[in-house]
Amino acid sequence: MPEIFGQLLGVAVIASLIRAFVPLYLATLGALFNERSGIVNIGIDGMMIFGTWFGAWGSLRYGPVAGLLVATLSGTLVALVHAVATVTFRVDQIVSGVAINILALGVPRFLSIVAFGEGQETQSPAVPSLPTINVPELGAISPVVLLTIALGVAAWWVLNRTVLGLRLRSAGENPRAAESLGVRVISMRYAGVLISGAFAGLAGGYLSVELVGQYTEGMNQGRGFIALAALILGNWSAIGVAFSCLLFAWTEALTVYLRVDWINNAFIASLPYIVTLVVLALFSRRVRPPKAVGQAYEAGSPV
Amino acid sequence: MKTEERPPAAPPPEPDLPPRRLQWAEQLRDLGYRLLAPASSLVFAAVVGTVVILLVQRSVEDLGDVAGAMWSYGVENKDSLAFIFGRATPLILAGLATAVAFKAGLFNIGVEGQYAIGALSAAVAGSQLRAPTLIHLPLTVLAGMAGGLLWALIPALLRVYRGAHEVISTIMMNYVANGVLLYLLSGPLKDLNQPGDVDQLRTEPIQETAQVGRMVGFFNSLGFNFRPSAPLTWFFLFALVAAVVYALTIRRTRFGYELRVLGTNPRAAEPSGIRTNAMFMKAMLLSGAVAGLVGLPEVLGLEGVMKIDYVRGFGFAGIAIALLGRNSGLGIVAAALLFAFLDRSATGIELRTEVPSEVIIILQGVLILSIVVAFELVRRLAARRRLQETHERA
Repeated sequence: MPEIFGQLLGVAVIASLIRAFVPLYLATLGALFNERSGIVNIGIDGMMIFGTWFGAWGSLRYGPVAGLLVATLSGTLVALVHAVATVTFRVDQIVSGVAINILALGVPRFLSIVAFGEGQETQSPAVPSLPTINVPELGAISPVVLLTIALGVAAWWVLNRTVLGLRLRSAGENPRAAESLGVRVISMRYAGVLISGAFAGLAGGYLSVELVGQYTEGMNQGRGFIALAALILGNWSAIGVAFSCLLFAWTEALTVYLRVDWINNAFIASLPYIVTLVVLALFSRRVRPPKAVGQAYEAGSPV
Repeated sequence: MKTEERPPAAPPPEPDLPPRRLQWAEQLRDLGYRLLAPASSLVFAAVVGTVVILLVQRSVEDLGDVAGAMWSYGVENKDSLAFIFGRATPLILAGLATAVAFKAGLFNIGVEGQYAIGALSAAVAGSQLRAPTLIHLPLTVLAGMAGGLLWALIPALLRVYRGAHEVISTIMMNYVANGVLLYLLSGPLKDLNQPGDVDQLRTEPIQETAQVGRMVGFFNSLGFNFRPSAPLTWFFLFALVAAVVYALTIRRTRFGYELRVLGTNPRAAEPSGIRTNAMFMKAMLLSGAVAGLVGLPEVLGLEGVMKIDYVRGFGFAGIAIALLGRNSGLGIVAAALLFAFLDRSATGIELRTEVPSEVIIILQGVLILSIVVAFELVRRLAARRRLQETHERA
């Protein structure tokens, strides 16, 4: 029994919990912005995938800092497509997100062949990472970990303590009332989706540039969808999602370190997804999503 | 909620109808509007594809080469049609599976995992049972449907009883399906006669009595000249029949009517006597059962075995096809044929040109996004015209 406890909460698990937490939390913060502004973004997983590819490519050509910036920018640009489709053209938000996810299955493969050469369609060469920071007990830690914590605090402050945050949230709760008070709902929703794409791109960039040091196809492993579940479990609050992401990151860390004879490894690899299903089953009805989330809004139209 | 069964409400009395001829003209124009969206998004996707090729190759000659390769492999080659029909088979089934759920307003993104489990169940029934073809084959197909249905059951239950959105849960089930597949093929269901390499994992071969033959002879007797090994099975006919059955079910049955009400106006469904939750369950389970068929052309027809590296991606293509085909039976068949043609011409691009054949995947992705935008724009255009006319008439 003690051995199992060691496996569940040991230092090695904590270290890999932190590594799993960063991309998940970044993506969930992104999802927080788009959903609070009233737009569903199922395409967050695809935006992360674009981030993983562009992060590796940028890091290879211009160094790790540029790599992370390029990754962030790529996520933002893909988010712009989603924003134009859903906010301006008022296309079904889930359909648009699904389309982006399908694009993310094909485009990186094409780009890999063009950028890395024939026979390299599923992976990049090794790419440089940022210098690490040494933390006692936990070992070397990426500076992006600190950036993530700072961004988490910033996201909470912007959403809950600034005028911008209030306007953004009002666009997701009651857009018509918000507009009658002078809030530009369309701009707020664009802002929400673009911020979301930037976070997702950075999350992807962290995976390829910092965590692995290489782009490989499928390396995102559906983290964008787990982020959406973390958002639900965190009840759309900046503080809540920090805790829900810790839970999901912990289950992911366990898949690396948990080795129990009577559970097959293929099942352990499925653990984060099964936990996500359980969380959805337990909490979907107990939380309160933004009122107008998922509903298209036409500026200035009669009621 | 128990409500009395009552017939659907009679349509409201029509306001003074315009003369009959005008109605005809209007119908023709509606058809024009309906075709305008797919046509314009095809053009848009082609433009994007052209730009991508130019960005990569920076020469107009390559553009001609790509078009030439697409033409010779997609159309000219004598086996092209066999390949396209064969490829369209799982695509039609995947499109239908997605469309059934779409009709009820549900997003089944889990077709990918459902067909993996369906194909595996069929492979088990096909390799382990011993029976004459007349019993064995239907049982095997049913096993495939049962596998897909089982994998859709969990998201359906979570949605109806726990309020969990089916998009996330079906995607999670896709990942779990991967784990289950790897576990079962590397352990309990592994063919012990095969080498142990991870990418060689497979079930035992399907019995003769559960295999489905190629449709090549039939087509050749009609005057075609396909190679005997062309990848076209009788499942193609099966998929076409499924599309017809789907179209009739949606248009002509009570179930189809209730499905459409639920999908277009969920709030009106319950008051008009439709038991929403029961319909959600039925739609999702039917969708899963149809998804369970997607892998069968490969497992029971082309390969005669379920391998770990079976052809993936039909589930996601199915979403695109259902959207492109507007959830109509005919539309789905047309969209599946188009995607199959694109897949086939990708081979030509691969073999004949320097351009990566992945440009076709980009085309398919762009197509989905542009089609939904195009439909929205055309809908607005049509609505504006109608509003104008109403004003004029008044």
